[in-house]
Amino acid sequence: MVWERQLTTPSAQQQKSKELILFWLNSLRLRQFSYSFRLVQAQLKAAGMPSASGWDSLFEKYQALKYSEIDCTLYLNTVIEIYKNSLISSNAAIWLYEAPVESISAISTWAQKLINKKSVFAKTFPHPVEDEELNLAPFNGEFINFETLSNGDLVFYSCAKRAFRHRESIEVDQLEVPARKALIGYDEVFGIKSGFTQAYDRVVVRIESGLMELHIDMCCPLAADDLHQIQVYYTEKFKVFLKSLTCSFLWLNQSKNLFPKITELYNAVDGQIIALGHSTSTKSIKEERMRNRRQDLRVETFHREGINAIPSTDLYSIKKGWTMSGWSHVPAVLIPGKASSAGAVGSSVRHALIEACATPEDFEFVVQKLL
Amino acid sequence: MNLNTQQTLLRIELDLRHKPELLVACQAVVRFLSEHRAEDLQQITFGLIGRVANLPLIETIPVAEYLSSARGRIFDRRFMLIVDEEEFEIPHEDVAEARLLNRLCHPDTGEVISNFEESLFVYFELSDIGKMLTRTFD
Repeated sequence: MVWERQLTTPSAQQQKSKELILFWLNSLRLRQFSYSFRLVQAQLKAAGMPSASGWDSLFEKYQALKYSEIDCTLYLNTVIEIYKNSLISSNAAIWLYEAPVESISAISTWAQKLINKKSVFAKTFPHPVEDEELNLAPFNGEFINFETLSNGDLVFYSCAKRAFRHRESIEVDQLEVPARKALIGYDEVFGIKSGFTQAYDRVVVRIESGLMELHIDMCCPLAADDLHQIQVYYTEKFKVFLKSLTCSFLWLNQSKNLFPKITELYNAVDGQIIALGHSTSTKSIKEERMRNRRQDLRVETFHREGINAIPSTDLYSIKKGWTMSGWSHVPAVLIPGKASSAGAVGSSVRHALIEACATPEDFEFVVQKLL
Repeated sequence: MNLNTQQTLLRIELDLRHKPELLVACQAVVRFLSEHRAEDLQQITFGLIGRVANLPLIETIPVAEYLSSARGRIFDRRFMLIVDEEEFEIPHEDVAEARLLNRLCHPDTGEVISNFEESLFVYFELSDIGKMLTRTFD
């Protein structure tokens, strides 16, 4: 029996590792709309693990891998780490609140009270729930977990169901003959795919700086109205929570105004300006964008000469990125102001969109640029 | 006109003397490069070539082909994938692999893009030799 165990145990362990690695990769695939596959590729390569040009070929590679010849622990830990990164640093709409010390302290002390362990999402967290369960799940987010980071900051995770619709081109050549016949005369054919996806929203409480960040996971396209609705929902939830602790909650009525940051970001010499919206003193609206996010609009000839040729311009939106060392990815922030705000008194933009962050450190780096 | 430009015009003349229309067009492009700074020519399209050489778009293809060929060596071909208003630069080797497998994946979602050729935008950048032909002073 001992002999048999010696022979079978490593093989069973390898089989288990394979199943776990594929399971985590599958969860990671479901994060594709808010966490780029390029970031997954870069982290796999950095760990010396196989990568591929797309999810299908990545799964083929990990199915065919000889698990007896690899460091299964390293592989599994790396995949788990990437998945964790996809939850905590995914593309997100963000609101910043300056919170009083007593409120921060109360949230920190009573964090557990916010958590609903009975939620359908809590059963599988950090993994997504099955499709059948997601169909029945609520649209309103529920806090299902929190963790304390190494610096003492708290991250609350809230999961919710979000509806999505997206258009896909259909290859007519691949269809059966009757379908092809029915579509004769059409140059292009599109299908609408709709369904539900699981969002992982976050509330980050910065203990030292007294800042509360609300992150709405951009796991599917969300219009400004949808974002506003979700933001109001979470702030109301926190207000009720703070009220129950007899703490001040009025600070949640107004998040930080990011409009002044547009000009500050443009003038700060670091990083690259990827896109800019401005209203010129010669009465035109300019929406400019670099095609490559590693290039800086400020040194592009058309922009530079144009700015020099006119007396003044009022900025109203900006997208700025910073090329990071290592994987040379470019985390970026978009402050989506409107042309009507350009040069106006009391203009405000209450949220920003942060994208292409690989790790929590990247995300915090970008948030720091907004403070 | 610098020495590099003069030498390049001569080389093109030797290469294309049996194709006078292509010769005139390629030389027009080289003269155009000598009048502009490399930093202002980071994206060269068929449209730009057509305007410079005074050719309809369809006739710019042989010009671009020669200038990016092993003989021309002035342009480097580049690919940009444009999907839903998002743009991604795709390396040559990835395009070559995609064409071989008839499959290109979206760089962000990692999922296969149907009809990917329709979403690939081809343009040119100046090669190191091409940059030497541009204007270096104001």
